[in-house]
Amino acid sequence: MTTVLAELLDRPEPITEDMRLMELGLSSTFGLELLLRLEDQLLILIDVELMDQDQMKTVGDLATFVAGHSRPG
Amino acid sequence: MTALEAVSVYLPPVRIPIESLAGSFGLTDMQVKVFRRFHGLREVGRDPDASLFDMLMKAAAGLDALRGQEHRVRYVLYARTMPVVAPYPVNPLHEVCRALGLDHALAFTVTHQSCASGLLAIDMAGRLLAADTADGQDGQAGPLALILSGEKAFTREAQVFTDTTIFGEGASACLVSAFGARDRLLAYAANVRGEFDSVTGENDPRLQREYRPSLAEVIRQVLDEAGLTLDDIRVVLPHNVNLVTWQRMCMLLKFPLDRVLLDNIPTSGHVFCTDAFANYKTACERGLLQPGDRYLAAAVGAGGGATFAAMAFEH
Repeated sequence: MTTVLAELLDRPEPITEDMRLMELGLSSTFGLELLLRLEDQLLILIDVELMDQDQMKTVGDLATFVAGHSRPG
Repeated sequence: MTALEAVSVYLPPVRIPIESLAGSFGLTDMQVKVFRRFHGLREVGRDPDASLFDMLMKAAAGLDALRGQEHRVRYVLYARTMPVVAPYPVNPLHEVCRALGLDHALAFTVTHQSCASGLLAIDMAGRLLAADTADGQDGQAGPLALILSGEKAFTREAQVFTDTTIFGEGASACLVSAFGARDRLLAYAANVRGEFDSVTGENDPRLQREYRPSLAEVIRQVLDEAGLTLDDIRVVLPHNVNLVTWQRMCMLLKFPLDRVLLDNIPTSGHVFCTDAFANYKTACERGLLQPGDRYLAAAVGAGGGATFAAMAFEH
């Protein structure tokens, strides 16, 4: 996820899982694009309807959600 | 009590896949995929051969309850998202009034709350009619208001909000009475936030953050005013902005997603102020509303400021 996120945000510096999504500039629009890129690259479908956006504070939170709420696409 | 007497909706039979529109919108492939995969938008209605007048007339043509009752129509309110839709001196509203034999009615446009103007028009029509108390409270013979909505997707701004929604064409016509028994208005709440002005865009990130909490707040407010809780609500008639917004709204409200009528999002897109009326018709056609059922209509108008609005009804 950190690789895809760095590509999306065009950020050369490393991204770590404790980084806060808002401080990275990840808007909800970019967030959806990130999920779509993850789906495409990992060949999964993410259950977005189960995502509580307010709980997605850090990169790690998002990664944990994706790991627990995705299925083969 | 304000009541909806009859509702008619016209949605064009021609549907255009969003991929066909992407080029003219300047959308990237990824943006189109996000629209389809997460926003649930697949196609939108377009009626290239119909003018705005034609579309409004097609909606009014389905309003059987208007036939023979034209003399009772005291107000015609045109609820619109876009402030300007025709070059001066063309006025589709007045043309429609003439064609329907409603020259005698006071006709005006309600546009300042963008896509939430349809709900404002219902409230305004009810209050205007209720003020005409000299006509008594007999719903069968009292004065009526006709609320029209509908727009052409005629500019880029009227076709797409790049990260949020794609607009579809359509129109509606709704008869409102002050003291009717059908679909009675229980409460209305609206929160106008002038600071969210899309012209400057400086508060866009804040609008994105506060969008759902603000809509949830007016929904709770309208429930309080109606003396209801979400458990009392049979169905929510949303604005068709996109699917993911309502998935997240349901998460926030702890309300079951299957009680939000999302049927029209994939095939019609966001039809300006017509969404609430189109979704009402769909709810009736699907048998989702039984006599006595309470339901909500909710809308957000974004543009020159943002308006968060909700209405509670009893069917």
